[in-house]
Amino acid sequence: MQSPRTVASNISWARLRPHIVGWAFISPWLVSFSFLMVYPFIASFVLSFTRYQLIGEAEFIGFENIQRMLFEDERVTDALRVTFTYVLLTVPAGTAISILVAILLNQHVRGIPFFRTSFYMPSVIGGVGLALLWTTILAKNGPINAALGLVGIEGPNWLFETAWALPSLALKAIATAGAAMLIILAALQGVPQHLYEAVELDGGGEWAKFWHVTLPQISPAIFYNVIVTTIGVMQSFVEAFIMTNGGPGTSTLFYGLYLYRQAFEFYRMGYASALAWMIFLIILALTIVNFRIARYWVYYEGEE
Amino acid sequence: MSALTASWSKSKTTQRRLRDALAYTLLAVGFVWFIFPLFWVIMGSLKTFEDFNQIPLRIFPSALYFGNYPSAWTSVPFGRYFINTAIIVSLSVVGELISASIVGFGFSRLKFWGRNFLFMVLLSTMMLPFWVVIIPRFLLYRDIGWVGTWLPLIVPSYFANPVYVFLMRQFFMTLPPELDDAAKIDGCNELGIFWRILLPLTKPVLATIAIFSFINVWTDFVKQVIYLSQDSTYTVAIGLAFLRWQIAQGDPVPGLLMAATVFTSLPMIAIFFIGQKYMVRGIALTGRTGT
Repeated sequence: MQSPRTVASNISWARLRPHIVGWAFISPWLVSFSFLMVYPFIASFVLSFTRYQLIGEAEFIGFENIQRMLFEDERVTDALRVTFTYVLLTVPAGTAISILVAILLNQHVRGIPFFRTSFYMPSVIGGVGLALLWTTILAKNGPINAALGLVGIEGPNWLFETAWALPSLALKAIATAGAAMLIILAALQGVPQHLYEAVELDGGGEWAKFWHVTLPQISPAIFYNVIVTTIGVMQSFVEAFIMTNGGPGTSTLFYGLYLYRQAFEFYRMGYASALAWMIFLIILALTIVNFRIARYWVYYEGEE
Repeated sequence: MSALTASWSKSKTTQRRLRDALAYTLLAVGFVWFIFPLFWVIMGSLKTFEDFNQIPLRIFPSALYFGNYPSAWTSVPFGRYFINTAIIVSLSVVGELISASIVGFGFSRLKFWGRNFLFMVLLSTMMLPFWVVIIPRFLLYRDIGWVGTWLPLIVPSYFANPVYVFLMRQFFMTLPPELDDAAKIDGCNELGIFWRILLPLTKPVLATIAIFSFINVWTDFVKQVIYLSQDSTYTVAIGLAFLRWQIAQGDPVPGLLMAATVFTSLPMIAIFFIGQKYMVRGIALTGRTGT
């Protein structure tokens, strides 16, 4: 016969065991979450109130960084203006084009797999390679200007003219948004066929189908894309770093590029942390606004 | 009556044909729009310097000139950079696969305190901007002596990327719970269920993660440029950037740059053709490409 004590410890072990095993399985993530997410997130907040140039100790300077960032540093204003303009140039147009291309790829004609592959493939090159590819496309004597020349327009030197540099980067971003296209295509393929049949029974045409079935049904996917691309585009870096180096002037000075320079070229870790927290708060605010607006246009099944 | 039906069905097929014609026209436009840049850069890599300065602009090279490839390959030590990148990428992919499958299993097949809350936390970290954590991470790695080595690029892969955990979990959720119960009756513990019963079933999703992480690590220029500082440790992406800056400073051989763009893109394009099916499925399942 077991002593009451052993029974009690057995019971508690039996009760505890699944929880311990569960936490053990997720422990790799708990480690990275603690050390690579929570700790840096808090540390960069604290660093925002210091001056720290990588040598010696971080020196507490109160709100000096924040004051400089908000009221004195004109480059911050430039970077924010450039970044917001870039978001406005890429997100709406990119979303619209992804929807149109996804609808096109959802047509029941022969050879669709071939087209899907070729539309998506360029975007996997990614990073520096894709940026260089577009640098050559946008060159002064490149193919875009050659095409414009055919209709009698003399194209600008896209990446080296203040007025055109940012729109050029936006064009590159829109033209390589292969993932967004595939996400919406997947949503399109999930639209239940019987909804279209219902519209047909009501005598609705193609337009009614699109407006009353397709668009509401894929709106969650569109919304998701808008959120993810907005967050991504706000943090852009490689395009400006490789294609224009932020220029000419400050015309393509992405916020990410400015932050990178402050942190890893001038080693102003405190100031760069303040900049990082500001972009975090802006992205957070934008995301909240996006969610608020979503109530008016995103359709969720089972909601009235 | 029959004439009427005939003409009706005829107009139906005409309409259908018009639709198809429109679809093909637009698909052709899209094809040119998406593929032309790649085509242009391949053609450009085969052009001589003189070909670039001709007016009107030529699309095709005057003669196939392969000289850009060896010059690009040696202008920057790409051989070493390819080996470096391959080491970083393969070690990272292994780490992502191991850690994402273990953690994904925990979040989907086990019940424990705080599971749903922690999973919500995991999802929300996917939205956390990279810039807000990069500086303290850099300082942390510097303090333990990792800056300048490959460790900051590789080691985090062994601690579960939220996107891949999410992908794994979504897949594990589709497997019937009876599998676990049956294994339990046969005396399997959780590790046994994970390793012997479920993991063999997740091959397609492991393939998806392998492809995503391959592409993402290979092209992750920002981290590479932040953490690496010696020529012997540099990656392909850094090599490409070097070439770009060399050319920007007045060494204008566009063909050379284009050749480098082509051969550094080949691994991505190859992996895309091998694993296209898995990528498309992964994107449909999570709505992300793993970044």
